[in-house]
Parts: sequence; C-alpha cells; structure tokens
Amino acid sequence: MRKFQNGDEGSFDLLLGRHGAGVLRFIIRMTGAEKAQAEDLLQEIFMKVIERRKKYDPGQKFSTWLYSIARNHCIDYLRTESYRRHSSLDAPISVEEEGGAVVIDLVRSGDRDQEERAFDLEVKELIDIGVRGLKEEFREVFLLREVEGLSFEEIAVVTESPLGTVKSRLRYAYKGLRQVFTESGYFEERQKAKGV
Amino acid sequence: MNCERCSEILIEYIHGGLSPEERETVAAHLGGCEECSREFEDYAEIRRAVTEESPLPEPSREVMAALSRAARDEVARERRPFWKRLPLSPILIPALTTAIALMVWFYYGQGGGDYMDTVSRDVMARKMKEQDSSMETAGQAAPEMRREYPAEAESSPAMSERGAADEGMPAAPPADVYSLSDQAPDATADTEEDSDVKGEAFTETAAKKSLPARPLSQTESLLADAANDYSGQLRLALRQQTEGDCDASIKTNETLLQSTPEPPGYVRAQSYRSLAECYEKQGKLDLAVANYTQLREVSPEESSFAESKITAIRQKSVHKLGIASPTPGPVN
Repeated sequence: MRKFQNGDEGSFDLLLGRHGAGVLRFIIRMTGAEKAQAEDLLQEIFMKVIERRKKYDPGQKFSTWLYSIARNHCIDYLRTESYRRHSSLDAPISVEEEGGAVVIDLVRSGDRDQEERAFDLEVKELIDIGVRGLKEEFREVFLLREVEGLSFEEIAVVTESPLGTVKSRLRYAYKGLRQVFTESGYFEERQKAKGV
Repeated sequence: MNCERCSEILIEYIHGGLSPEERETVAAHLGGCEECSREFEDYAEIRRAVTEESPLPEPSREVMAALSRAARDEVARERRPFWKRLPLSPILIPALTTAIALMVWFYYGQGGGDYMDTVSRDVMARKMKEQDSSMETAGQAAPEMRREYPAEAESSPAMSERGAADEGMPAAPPADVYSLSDQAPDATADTEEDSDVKGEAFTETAAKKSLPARPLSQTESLLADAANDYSGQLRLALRQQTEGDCDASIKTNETLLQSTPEPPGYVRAQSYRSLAECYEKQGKLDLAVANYTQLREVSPEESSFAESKITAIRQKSVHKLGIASPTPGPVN
C-alpha cells in the first residue's frame, strides 16, 4: 500500500488480487447481495481505497483499513436498501427476503413448516441464512473473525468498538447461529450420523 | 466455575484467547458438564462448517481490470500538473469567463466613482500644482509687494490665500497677483519645473481622501513628505517675515537651509531671498548681499533681481559712507 501511495500503480493490482475475493465474500455475507450487486459494491469500495490512499496511515494494517471502508460501505448500502424497501410497501416480497431474514424470523418464531424447510437446507445455506439473520453488529464481528480471519483487536478497530464488546458480540453471534442450526435439526442429524 | 461463566468465555476458549489457568478451568468444567460440553461441540461444528464452506465466487476479470485501470488513471492524473487536472468542460470555461467579467464589472463598474476619482484626482493634482505655483509666486511677490506697497501687502488677497493654504485649504490666487511683481512670471516657470515632487504630494493628499489610490513608491513618499516639510518651514519663515519677526524668520530659514537632504531649488531660492530681505531690513547689508548672491546662484531666473538688489545695497552703502566720511576735496 505504501508503494501505491507513492505512485506505484502496479502495487494496487497486488492488493486487489490479495484482498479482492475476501472483500467480495464479506460483502455478499454482510449484505446478502447477489454477485453482480456485490461486485458493484466491491468496485465502489476499492475506488474509495484509490481516492483515499493518501489518508492511509502506513502504521495501520492494510486489511484493517480496507475492512473499515468495506464495513462502512456495506452498512450504508444496507441502510439505503432498508429505506428503499420500507418506502415501497406495495412491492412484492423478494426471493432474497423469502429465503433469508424472513426465514430466520419464522424459524425463531417456531413455525414448524419453515423449520422443516430449513432442516433440508445444506450447511452452506444454513450458514447463509443464520448469518443473514444476525443483527448487523453481531454479523459483522462474526464475518470479520471467522471468515476474514481478523484478530479481536483488529475487529475492534474496524468496528470502532471496545475489545470486550467485540468478544460479547461474537458470543451472541454464535448463540444465534447455534439456535438456527439446532432448530433446523442439523445437530440432531449429526448425532445420528455419529451413532451410525 | 459455573455454567454461566463457562458460556461467557467459551468462544474465547475456542479461539485460544484465555490465560493457561483459565483454559485449564474451562477444560475441567467441560469434562464434567454435559450441557456446556454440548455447547462447545456445537460452536466448534459451526466454526468448522464456516471455515470449510465452499469458496464464494471470485471477482470477475472485468471488475478487476476496471479497478486496475481506475488506479492507473488516478496515479497518472496525480502526476499531471494541477492546471491540467482541471476539467476543461464546455461549461466551465464560459462560466469562468463570465465570472471574471462580472468581477471586473463589479470592481470598475460598481466602483465607477473610484475610477472617476482616480481621473479627477489627476486633474485635481494638476490644478493644485498650478495653484501651488501661483502661491509660490505670491510668496515671492509678497516681500516685494510689502516693500513697494506696504499698505496693500498686509491686506493682500494673495497673502490671505497663502494663509488659507497654510491651513490646508487650497484656494486659487487672484489673477492680479502677477502684476505685483515683475518677477512673478519667471518665478512661476521656476516653480513649475520643481513642482513634480509637490505634484506627487498633492496626488497623495488627494488619494487619501478618495480610495483606492495608486500606491506611491517608498522613494516617492519620502520625497513627498520632505517636500511637504520644506514647504511648511518656508511658509512659516515667510509668515514670520511678514509679521515683522525677522529674527525668528532668519532662524527658521537657516534651519531649513541646513536640512538634510538638501531642500529643492525653489525652496532654497525663496529662503535665501527671505534671509536677504530680513538682513537688509536689520541693516546687516553684508549678510544681505551674501544671501542675494546665493539667490542669484540658486535661481538663475532671479539673478537679475538679485543683482539689482546687490547693486542697490552697495550704492546705499557707498552713499552712507559718503555722508559719514568727509568729502574729499577737489583735486587740483
């Protein structure tokens, strides 16, 4: 990043290659956006990196700085989307809503039909649904820690939160996911498989 | 350790974030508590599922290429000089041109009075220069007039005008001032030659009254100040002379003539003339002759006048000597 700051445009390609996929994954998990939309967000995030390169402090870890930008951009996007959805009450419920947060809400409410549907989902889908159903502040901590591999201290910087808050938010995220996995019957199936 | 505490730190335990003592305590609790042990296994399973999850799609080549191009363009743009970075859009150039035109119009159009002031200031400075020349002429004429027309001299409009000038109120001299002395036209020519500095001084005075003014250079300002100071001293000396206080007038004139830098020629000429007249009045004829001689050297235009005065004084001296000394007897 320091080379890019000093005008070495080739070093940007290295940064992009190293972090592009991770940020895209974070965007998809954080926002639940489709790939095309997530790529648009990825471009916007890296354009901010280009524009703000002079503001980057070389003493800070680049991934921390990058995920701060990505996280804030995702939050802005989610708020805009939330406003857009609430302002168009007549619009039909999207597929994303039907398979995402709405499902989690229904699972949590004890709707057995939806629970049975969730039981059949693959682990990946369970994780998708579980993560998307988490509160925003729990979701970002979980993704940064378990998917992107940032340390607790780095997450504290990215989310501008105290270290203890980061740890407790991760605990709540795990509890939420465990509830989803439990109610889907995943753990029960696993026990049966182990027994066999 | 109870189950509640264990649940609180279980995530940290999974991530290896506790002290060795705490880790041992948690491990011991998990070995004896089925509920907490199940929670631990569930969390570990979720974590394994997340980390072993099939990879998500990579960014497309188009996106990577677009970002790479954007970065290169940005770096290249930064390397360009700042004036080339400005977007020369078809809207920006006319907008800038209009803005500049409006600024010029506001400055000179709205402030038209200022512009006219500048013009009128120049005209006024020229007029005042003429007035100043006339006043100097009157100053030269005054002693002459007093000598030849003592009654009129005290109530002369020219003198009163000079008094007004002392108070900073310029006033035009009457046309008949020149008729009081045959030296006046020559003196006018003389003062016109030397009046450039005074012209600057008047310009500055006028400029102070109406802003904005053309800024004077430092040299011009110093010369203007000096000219103002010399003129003031000269006017004081002439007034003292007019009031009959020859001693004071002589002292003022001597101070003026010893000033550094040397006063302008027209000031020194006036000063020498005043000194000569005062000494002549006091009967110090040799000093009077000496000052008329200085006047002749400083002001060639007044050389004939100075010469005539010197001749007159010498004749007067000879006459006095003739009266005082016994008349030589006819040579046989």
